[in-house]
Amino acid sequence: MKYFDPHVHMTSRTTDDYTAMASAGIRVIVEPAFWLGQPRTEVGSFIDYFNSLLGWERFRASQFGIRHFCTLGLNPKEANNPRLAEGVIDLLPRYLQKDGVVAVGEVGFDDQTAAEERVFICQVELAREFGLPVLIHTPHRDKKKGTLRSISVVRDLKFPEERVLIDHNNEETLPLVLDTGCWAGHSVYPNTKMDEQRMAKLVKEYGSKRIIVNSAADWGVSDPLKVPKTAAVMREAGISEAMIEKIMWSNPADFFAQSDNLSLADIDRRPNINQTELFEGNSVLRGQTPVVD
Amino acid sequence: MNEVLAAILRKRLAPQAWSWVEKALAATQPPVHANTVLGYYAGASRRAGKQALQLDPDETARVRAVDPELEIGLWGVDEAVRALLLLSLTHMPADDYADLVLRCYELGDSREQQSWLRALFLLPKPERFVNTATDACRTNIQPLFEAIACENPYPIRYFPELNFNQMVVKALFSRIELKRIVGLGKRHNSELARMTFDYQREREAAGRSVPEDIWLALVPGLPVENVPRVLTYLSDPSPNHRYWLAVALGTRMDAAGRDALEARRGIEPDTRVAKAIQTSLEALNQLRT
Repeated sequence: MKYFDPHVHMTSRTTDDYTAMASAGIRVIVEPAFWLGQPRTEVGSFIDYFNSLLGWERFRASQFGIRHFCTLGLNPKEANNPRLAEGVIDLLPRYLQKDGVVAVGEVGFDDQTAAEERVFICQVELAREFGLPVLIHTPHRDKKKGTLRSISVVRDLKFPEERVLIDHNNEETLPLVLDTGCWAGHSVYPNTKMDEQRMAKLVKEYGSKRIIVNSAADWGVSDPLKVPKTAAVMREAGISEAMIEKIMWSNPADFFAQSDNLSLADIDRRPNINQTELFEGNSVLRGQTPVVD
Repeated sequence: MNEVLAAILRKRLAPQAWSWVEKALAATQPPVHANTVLGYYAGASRRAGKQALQLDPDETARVRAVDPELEIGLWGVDEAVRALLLLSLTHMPADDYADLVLRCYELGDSREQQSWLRALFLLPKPERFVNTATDACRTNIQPLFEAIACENPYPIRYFPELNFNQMVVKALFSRIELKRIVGLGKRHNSELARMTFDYQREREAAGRSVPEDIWLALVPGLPVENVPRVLTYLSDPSPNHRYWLAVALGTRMDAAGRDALEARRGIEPDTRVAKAIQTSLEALNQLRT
């Protein structure tokens, strides 16, 4: 089966991960812009980061037969730095028009401060202006309230709910999101957030409509194979192939296709690998024989 | 505080390291060259070492005389040097001072930032640095988070309620013992109770354990109708749950908690928990009279 991981931070992962993901059937990934584990102090750091998501990382993925898309935005943690926030918001209109940008994100709440809310609202407005969906991060702490506040922001702005993906849900927040028109993402982690068994149980209870699963793998303890691994657990739990395919492929594809920047026909074909290609003179290879399909 | 720190340091540093500190202190006197000071601020770990101060009773008394909530025994020698440097620059014009102090943080590695957060409370007009301190709570580096959240009186005195509550919940997420948060008992509020009560239910819904000392943050401000939802933990198999819940129940006057403590008193097998139940009941009786 082919898989779509709609939330994975590949800049923090290795080429071994790409190899493993490709052989597990992962064909398409979306990499949301997020924070780097420690705060950036200059707007210029965001320019370089956005450029690397659009450039080198997309190229790296392509070398393993994986299509790479990204979402761009200012994450809620760094929204609390007023100097940065203003500068990054000014940058976004240029970047949101670039090829392969399939949503504004991750945006939303972390500590749930007034500054976070301002930057969040501003970015939802940018999504409307540039015709993009929105990927909303929900906070680790005080998650239920953070989820409800995120839904309020979307509703107050009358942003179309079917163009919103609310991420990192759990048992407490999923029913709240499904009560809206928004899509519900789940990050399957080794220890925190969601796990495979609980995810299968949620699907049995709530079905597959607007349900999305991702690995959210990053620089922390995480696993970029969690999408296929969760599918395997769902299969063992007796969930049908059709339903698994909807959750692990069609749902994320349909959601991000709303950006008009991801073509369902294109992603259906596995891209040809040509490891003789270079990106600005650089190759992912270190003396290996290039693979060419 | 400058003399207290200098005396503590002199006792612990080899002559060569102490003479380096003297040179660093001389550089804090006018005319101040910011880059020179920043260099000394950075170099303290390599020159003075990182071993913990571990104060003797006499030194502890002198520190407590500066402020009863001040706790520096866990600071490294380098952190004390950095605190002393910042405190020796206070003769500078206020804006220049604030600027240089902030650069010590912004250009610092995580040990320098940690030292800065620990010393923050001692600086003149510490409230002006509150944004940097609340921002520090967003770190994923646990020692850095602990530097502001634990054994530090700064949050209880200067954090807005929202940031204080987020810090407490993050401590729970990071498995940091809540008793390390200075003054938590004085700062409890209904919003913190709601956030931690939601967290309890989220963990239960996920089939995961609830932090054993969550009750310190959750119980004092909990609406009375939700009290029965936590009382089951008074008979939890983990004595730590029973202990911290018994301690926390000693802070609220309504009958449900007191009755539950009374009922548990006769059957509690663990002596430490039994003592906590007794202490809480006595506190409640005293409050009543």
